[in-house]
Amino acid sequence: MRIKAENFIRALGSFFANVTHMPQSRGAANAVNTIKLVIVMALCTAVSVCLRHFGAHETNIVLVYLLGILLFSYMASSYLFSFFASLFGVLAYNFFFTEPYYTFRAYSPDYPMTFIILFCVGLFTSMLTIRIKRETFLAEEREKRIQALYHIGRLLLGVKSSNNLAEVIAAELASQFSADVMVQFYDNSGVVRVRSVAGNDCFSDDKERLVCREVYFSGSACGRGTKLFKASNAYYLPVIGQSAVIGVIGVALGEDEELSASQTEFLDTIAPQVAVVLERETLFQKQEETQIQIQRERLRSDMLRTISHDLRTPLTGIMGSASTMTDNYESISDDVKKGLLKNIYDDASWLCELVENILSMTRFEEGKLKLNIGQEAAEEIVAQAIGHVKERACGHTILANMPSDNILLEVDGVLITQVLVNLIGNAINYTPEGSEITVSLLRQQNGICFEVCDNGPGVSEDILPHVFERFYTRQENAFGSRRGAGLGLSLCKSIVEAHGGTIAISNVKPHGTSVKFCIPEKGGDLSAAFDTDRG
Amino acid sequence: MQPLILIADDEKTIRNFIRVSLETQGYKCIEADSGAGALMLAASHNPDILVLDLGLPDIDGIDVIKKLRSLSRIPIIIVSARGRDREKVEALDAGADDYLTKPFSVSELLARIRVILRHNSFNFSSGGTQNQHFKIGGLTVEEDKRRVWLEDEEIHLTPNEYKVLALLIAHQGKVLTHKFIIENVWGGAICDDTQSLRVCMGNLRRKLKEDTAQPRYIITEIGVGYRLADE
Repeated sequence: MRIKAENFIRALGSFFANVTHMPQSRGAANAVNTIKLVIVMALCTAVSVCLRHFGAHETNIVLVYLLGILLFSYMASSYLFSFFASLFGVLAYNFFFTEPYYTFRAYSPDYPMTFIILFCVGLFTSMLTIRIKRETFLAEEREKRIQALYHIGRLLLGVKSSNNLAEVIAAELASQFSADVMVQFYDNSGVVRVRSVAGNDCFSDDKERLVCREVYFSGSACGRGTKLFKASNAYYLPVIGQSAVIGVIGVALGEDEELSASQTEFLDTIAPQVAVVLERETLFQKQEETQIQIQRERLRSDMLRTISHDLRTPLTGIMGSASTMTDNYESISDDVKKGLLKNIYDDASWLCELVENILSMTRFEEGKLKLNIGQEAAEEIVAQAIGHVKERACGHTILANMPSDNILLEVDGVLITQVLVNLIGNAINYTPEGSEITVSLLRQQNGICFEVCDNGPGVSEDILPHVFERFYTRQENAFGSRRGAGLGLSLCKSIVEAHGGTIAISNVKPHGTSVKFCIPEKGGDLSAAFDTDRG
Repeated sequence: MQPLILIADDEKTIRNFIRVSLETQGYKCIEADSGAGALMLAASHNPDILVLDLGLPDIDGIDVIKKLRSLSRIPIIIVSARGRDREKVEALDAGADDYLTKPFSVSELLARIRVILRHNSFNFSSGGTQNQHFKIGGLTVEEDKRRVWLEDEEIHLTPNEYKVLALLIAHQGKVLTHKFIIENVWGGAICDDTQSLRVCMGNLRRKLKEDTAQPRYIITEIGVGYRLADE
């Protein structure tokens, strides 16, 4: 028991020495203690000489030596030296202050008893003093460690990702140990997915990697100060999760340096905490992914439901018209046939538009949509979009309001055209015949703005905030046209946002609706337009 | 003599409706359902126009165009799915004459065929007479004097603007890719820089007083190029 405590105390001592950067060899400490012992004994003797000179009682001299022994033991905190102090105290007393003076003999028969008692009292009290001092030191050490643990615990609470976790732990351990620290985490297949090094990266050569692998596979600490890979530069310990090793922490050590027992103990306390936080993060991520997956599934089924419903209506029309014609080909007049055929054509072209939007939408959904960014002239986009919807806009007037200068944009021309087609198409669908639709192009502070404005009845205020939501349709006031799948505006929003722009809808006075979207202007400066040396 | 049109598409219904509508307009049709078949029929029947779907099952459409171009100057109209602009541009640059995007209307197809046939006959009949006044709507271009008139008012174009306009006129009705125009007007110096072209087109449109909502002369094909209105 005593030996263990001794070891522990020594370890703590060296830990303290490491932490405070005060390396002391044992020899130097002994020399210092010896000098101290000599000085203390000399002082005691001098004081006692004075006391005797002033005629003080001999008991006081004994007490002075006792006090000296105590003081010295407190300063030296070594059991061995307190033994010597007691011994020398007794000898000095005997030599200087018992008759005959300046010899180690004593006449009075009391003296041996006095010597023994003085020696024993000196030894015991100094031992007790030392013990108290050491326990105080231990308690302080423990408090420091607890504080460090508490600090790390608090840091771990604020960790946001496994990357962040590795960084925080590496930095914190590096400052605790004043050493280079590496933290790395593995994925399920044993590949390092996160790695963070605080200080110099001395963990990356083949030998050190081999040690890391060994730690990962064996699940026990390796490297300096352990049984395996003693020659490595660092001490490695595993971070063990619920089922397997999920990470490795490495602490670099100088030559001939080893971690003390308390330091490894400290690391052993930290590692499970790291494991817990890491597993928490992984679980959180998994949960988030599942959540996204669920949302995607829900969206898909929503979309399927809405679309299949919307597909059914025109398909019924097409099939009905076609079968009516084939069944009654002889009996119906040419005019009726023409009408039926026109119905088929209209339904099909509407389906076509819908499919176009659905396609773009699904491209977005699977994250596959690559913006095919190119330089486009804004007015060409407007012209193309108007040309596209013109066939549908028999009863509507479409006006274009273009600025006098050329505006070049870095956009995906096809998608932005589709946005405009959808917006103009909506304007046609939701305004009575004879309405006027104005497409304007403006250069504003937040970029190039396209505005589609109509003088129809407008949108009622309570549904205005919802129109960009997916599958939202305003069924009640479509004019002569069938309702859309509610894809158009949400698709527009997705496209505009993919370009880093914004889209907004508002009612205009006296009546009508305006949808405006702005795309940030990137470069596209006309002054550079004729700079043809770039090729 | 009736022009002969070769339709290459793997969808029977599409071939069907194209054939029916072309035949009612007085064209003769032959059909192929594969790239190899199209190449063979093109060699054996020497059709006046090939309507080619780019998505044939056996040979890539672009390769069909390249093979045909190594043999003859037969006009090719390509048909492609929407959103595949790059493919379209590639096909046009490989030598196709015009394109249609699925789904297309029959009237569009007929218009493209008419343009191509007219051009071919124009080339044959009036090969020598260069000094013509070109007229479309209110626009008159005196090609020998390089002067341009809009409704009796002369407009002044920069040399590049005139070159672009002349190029469009020379290929009236046909879509010209950005690359083609740049190569022919600016030369190879600015191959990938379409900015100059767009600025030039913008200025040209302004000088021709084009209404964006109803372009009269220059029609923009987003992501592909430009064409001059047919009539």
